[in-house]
Amino acid sequence: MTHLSIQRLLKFIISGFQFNYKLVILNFFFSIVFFFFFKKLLGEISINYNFNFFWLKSYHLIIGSIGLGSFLIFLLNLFVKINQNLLKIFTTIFAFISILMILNIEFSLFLLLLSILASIFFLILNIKTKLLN
Amino acid sequence: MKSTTLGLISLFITILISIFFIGYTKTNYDVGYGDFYVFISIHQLIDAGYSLYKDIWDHKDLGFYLFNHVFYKIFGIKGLFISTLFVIIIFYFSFLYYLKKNLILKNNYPLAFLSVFFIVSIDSFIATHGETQAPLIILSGIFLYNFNKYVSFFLFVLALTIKISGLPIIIFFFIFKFLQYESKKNFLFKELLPLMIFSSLLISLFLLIIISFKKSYLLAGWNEITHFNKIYAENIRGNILFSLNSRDLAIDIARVFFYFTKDTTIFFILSIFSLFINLIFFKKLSKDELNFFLVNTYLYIFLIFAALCVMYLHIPVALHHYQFLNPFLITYFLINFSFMINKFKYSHLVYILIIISFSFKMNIQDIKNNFSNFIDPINGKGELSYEISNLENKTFILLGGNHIKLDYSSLKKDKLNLSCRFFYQLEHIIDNYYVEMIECINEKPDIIFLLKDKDLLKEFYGKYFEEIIKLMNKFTEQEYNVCGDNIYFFIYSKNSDFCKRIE
Repeated sequence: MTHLSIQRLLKFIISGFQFNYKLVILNFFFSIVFFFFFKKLLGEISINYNFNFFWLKSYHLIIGSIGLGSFLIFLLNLFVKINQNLLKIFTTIFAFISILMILNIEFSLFLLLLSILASIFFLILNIKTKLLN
Repeated sequence: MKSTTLGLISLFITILISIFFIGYTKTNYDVGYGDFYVFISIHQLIDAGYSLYKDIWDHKDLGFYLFNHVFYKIFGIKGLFISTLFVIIIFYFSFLYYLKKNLILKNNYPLAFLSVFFIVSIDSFIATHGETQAPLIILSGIFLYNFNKYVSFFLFVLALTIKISGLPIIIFFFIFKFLQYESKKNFLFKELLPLMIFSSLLISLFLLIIISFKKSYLLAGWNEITHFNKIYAENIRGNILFSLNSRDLAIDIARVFFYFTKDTTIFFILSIFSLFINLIFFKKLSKDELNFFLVNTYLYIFLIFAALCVMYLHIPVALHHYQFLNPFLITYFLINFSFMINKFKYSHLVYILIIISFSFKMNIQDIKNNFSNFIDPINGKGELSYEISNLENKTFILLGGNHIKLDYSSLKKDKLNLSCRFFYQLEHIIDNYYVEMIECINEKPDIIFLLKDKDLLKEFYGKYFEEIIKLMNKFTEQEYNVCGDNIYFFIYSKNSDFCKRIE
């Protein structure tokens, strides 16, 4: 691996932050879904598990939701340059999961985490073959 | 200074510092570190002819007792400390091999020493626990993989028998290897297949030994305690293991991070911080350094994620369970740190300063105490040993005799006086084995030893305290004589002969 390839890799990672307006709209949608989903979820946890979230304020949740939404968009944005098919697949998956979250399906959080891991896995595979070699 | 001299000095101070921290122990009836007394008792009972899991019960994995018993046989009680020291030395050499092989970083010796120093001095370090030994053996296996994959795989298998929950780390390591290979076919046939054959051979050999020595109960027992551990974990965490609904998953993820100890938090933050610093200044790194840094980071992302998965299995994570995460964070941070100062001419002075600044924390009295404890561990010598040596053919049970200093070494070999396997009695174990334990008391053994310290007994038995004491009183008032003047135990005997013998 050379400095050039790491430079390309870093440039590639930084390019993930350049959101276009479509992705910003999607981020807005994800953030709203996450906010209400986690608000309900944490409320349930504090009752069922007696886990004290007294320090957790609404602004923490807002920042967290925007952060998580932006992270998903960041991952999708990375696919823009390397694999359009994967971009479409993962956009559909994330959108589908956010609908499951609205419907409050039991396994939606697990599916979200699993798809994030899967997207990172495919990113690594693609970066290795397309960028670094 | 010559490399050999430097190596020897480094090894010497690594061993000294390890002994200092391994030798640290509390000497009272402490429930937390009382685990050490359980381990001693189990090894003494195995020596007296009792079969693990069948005649004596503990919920630790099979390899943990087999591995440590070898050291116990050779060195006695201090063997339990020496086994941890042995694991640390293996880790030290493997880490040194990993650093030296890459020929990138200077100051390999101080780096290897410092990694051991942080691992043994971290707040969650308790020597003699499987959670301390297993991750170090796994990490040694990972470092030695390029040296010899069979040696490495043997270490993986050993670590798994000591602590089976370390499996995610090994799986993630092989996923890393799989991704590293250009040709997936080559990976399957050149890497995985030979290792599969090797592991089949190891397992077959192990089974052959177990069957030929008629020890198949060990496997049945291991299976039983693994099942127990699952039920215990589910009871205590309040949800089903691998429960994937959002509520359970969210609380479990929160619990992994919320129970971080202070030092684990520091190293977690330092690892991320050092990664970003190196990424920001990547242009300062040479081509080889950059290559090593990236491959190493790539490997550690997998390992640290896997270690967090292990933490998920251990919820609610006790202090010493974080030893499954700490060595990964510590070695990763130190490697990254050494990249930062690798070009600095006097980098070795930085390490010397770090070592000196930490050594100021130690005082002479602690050094004396810890070293003498390592050489001659506080083990409850003599406590109950006189009474136990006078048992002859009488059966006995010991109520509340777990997690405290006791001496079973005077038990006559193969007499099997212990009337049932539950000398290890804590509330969460009685939860699952209540019927068996009551049956054991109902069988009315010849002698009953009952812990005098009621507060401690209450702590051990929890909600079962009143019930068991009531049952005990019912028997002892009618059929038993009270005898002896042991400081820690009431002694009840059916037969007055025994009382006469010990008075």
